[in-house]
Amino acid sequence: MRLVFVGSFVLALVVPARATVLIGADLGELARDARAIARGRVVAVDAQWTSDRRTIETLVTLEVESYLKGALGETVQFRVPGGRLGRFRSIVVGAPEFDVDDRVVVFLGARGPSVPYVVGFSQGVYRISRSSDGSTWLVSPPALLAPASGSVTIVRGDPSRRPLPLNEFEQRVRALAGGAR
Amino acid sequence: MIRLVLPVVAAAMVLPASPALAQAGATSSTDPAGRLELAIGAVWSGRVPLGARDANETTGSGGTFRLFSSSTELGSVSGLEGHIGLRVMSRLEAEASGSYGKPDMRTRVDSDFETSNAPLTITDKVQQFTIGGAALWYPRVPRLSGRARAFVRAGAGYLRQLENDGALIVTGRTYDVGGGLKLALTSRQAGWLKGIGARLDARAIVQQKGVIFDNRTHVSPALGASVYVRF
Amino acid sequence: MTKACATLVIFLFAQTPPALAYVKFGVRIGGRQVTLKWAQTPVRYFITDRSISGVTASDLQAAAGRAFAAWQAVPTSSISYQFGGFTTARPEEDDGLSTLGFLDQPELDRVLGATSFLVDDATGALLESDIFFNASFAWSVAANGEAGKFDLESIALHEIGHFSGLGHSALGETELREGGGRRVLAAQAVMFPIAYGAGTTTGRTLRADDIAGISDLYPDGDFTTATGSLSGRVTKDGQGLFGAHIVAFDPANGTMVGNFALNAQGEFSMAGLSPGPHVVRVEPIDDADLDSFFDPARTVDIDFRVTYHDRLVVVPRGADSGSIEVKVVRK
Repeated sequence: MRLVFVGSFVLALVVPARATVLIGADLGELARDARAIARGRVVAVDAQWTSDRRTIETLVTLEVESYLKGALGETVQFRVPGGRLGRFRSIVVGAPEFDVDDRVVVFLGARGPSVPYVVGFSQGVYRISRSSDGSTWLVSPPALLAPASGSVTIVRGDPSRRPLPLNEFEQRVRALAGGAR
Repeated sequence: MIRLVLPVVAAAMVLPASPALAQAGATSSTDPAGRLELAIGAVWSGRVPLGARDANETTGSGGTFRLFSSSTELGSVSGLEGHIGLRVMSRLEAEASGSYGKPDMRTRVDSDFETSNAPLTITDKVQQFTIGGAALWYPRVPRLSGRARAFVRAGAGYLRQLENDGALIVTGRTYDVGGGLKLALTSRQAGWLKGIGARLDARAIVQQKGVIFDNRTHVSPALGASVYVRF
Repeated sequence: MTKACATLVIFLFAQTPPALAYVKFGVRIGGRQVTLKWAQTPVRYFITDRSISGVTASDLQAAAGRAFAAWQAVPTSSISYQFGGFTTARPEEDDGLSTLGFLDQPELDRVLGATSFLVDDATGALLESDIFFNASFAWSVAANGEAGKFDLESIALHEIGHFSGLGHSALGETELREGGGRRVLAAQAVMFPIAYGAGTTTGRTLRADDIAGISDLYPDGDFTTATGSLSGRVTKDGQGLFGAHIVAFDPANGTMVGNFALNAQGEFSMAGLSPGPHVVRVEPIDDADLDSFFDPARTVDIDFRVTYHDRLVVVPRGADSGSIEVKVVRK
């Protein structure tokens, strides 16, 4: 029925809470700023109270398949804000979220001896998934690469902007990370 | 519909050349017999520009960044029109009129920053009703034949437009000025039917509100052709 | 936390068309879908009694107060806020107080500010929401902004949108710059996720998209009778398309309201639209970090071209347009 009053809708579509206000980064910046860039599989996701027991945070354990920059061991733990502990769920909007068995490329930062963190919040996480025909691994979202000169306006729907095959993505990241050294 | 009405009117305009159809006792007076006149016919209305707007985003400096541009118009349309006239003085008639048409509302999208799919024109149908009143004045025009009468007209009306089959109803006002010609085909003093004739109108219509986007008045031309009977 | 992400999924639904403008936050509690919003108003908030270089706690309270007032002033929304006072509590603390303040977060080198929620995992009740502003950046509370400093009121306005339950809008354009960096060219929503550059105060003004969103969450006045909604689905090759960005443009007043196709059927709905004809434009979000908009567990289809619906869609007053289908094609 066309004339359904707006207020009569019962169900609503919502999205998980994930938002913050960011300074945008391109792939080159992320590669330059990361202490380590790891490809791997998430094997554990554990929420805990921070050391001052005032805030919930989550430790993500990644079984590393390959480092594209730096090296932090065969498994690496990094922290992201928020998590679910007991009766409470702390949601830090904009913080990346992980689940066991996620395959990802993460850009990790670290300051001193502390547990690494993800550079640029959700901008520093690229997810690996099978292509629709199952023939190859793809990395999402499509990489944003700074131009060699001037500025380039990002045009949505640009046919050239697609998820990159994993090997091509890694080549680019290695080149960017190498160039930044 | 106009395909049906126009031949009738055109035929009516030609018929006076046939004396056989002119009834005995027809008058050549410029004051036609009867006080009441009913007319029905076709009307064509010209396009009405509704306005142009850009889909703008705001830059950091407060300027605008155009995502795409748009301009919208109500297309020209042919429809039905009827009049009921009442002679109030020798040369003055009061008239009630109504019309119906179904024009296209067309938005042209252009200059899209992100796609070559634009320009394109997208449309919706609008059902349009008007009712109103007008005064017709018949000036003396010496060179016209006795069967023809010229008139000038000024009127005002109420406009009701239904978008998307009545999902949204908007109203407005119309004002019109113009003139035309009435040509008597038959005319007689006796009997309840006083005459039959044809009528041609040309008007400038001023439209306010309705589907119009802005608060300005928009002028469009209109042409009408109808047949009438007098009582 | 293992299942925390899994529970924070985009709600799937069937049959009944949804009504929403903009993007609203939600959590799944057990099998229930719960929209993250305040059950009671005014929402009481506190300001951390901490100053940073050039900005005192009172400055923050004034800037945040103006931002709260802007949201509260939306005539078609019932949300209201109340300043509870200064506090020594920090905004990241899960203490039951909704707190705004500065935090030193140098590791969050591209995060100007962020909003967090504490939710009762049993009931879905929103217990508190905090906003932190990253003290690692230079901030300004000057009326006209200051070069090289981010405008606190603008960022507060964005974060308070989240605080109230709104997600991100994709109504904005960006560019990549030589030497690195992604800059906002223009935006038409305070809730666009990437900030304008330092020195501008443009982000202090709510746009039609923001107003539609907050009004849809907390409808008031004649919102449901004076505005209408537009709904439909986006399809590609006959299948529903998840994650498409849909923009409804009103050619009468130039306003834009956006939303996403948020289920596997590609269904979408936008409320709070001005009655009248609308141009519907669909685009892929192929320029964003998708995690900023969607659950990572969902596969967002970005392989299609910008497409216009082939008809004007008339939004009725106090009702829905009736479902439309926008067919998109591959890149």
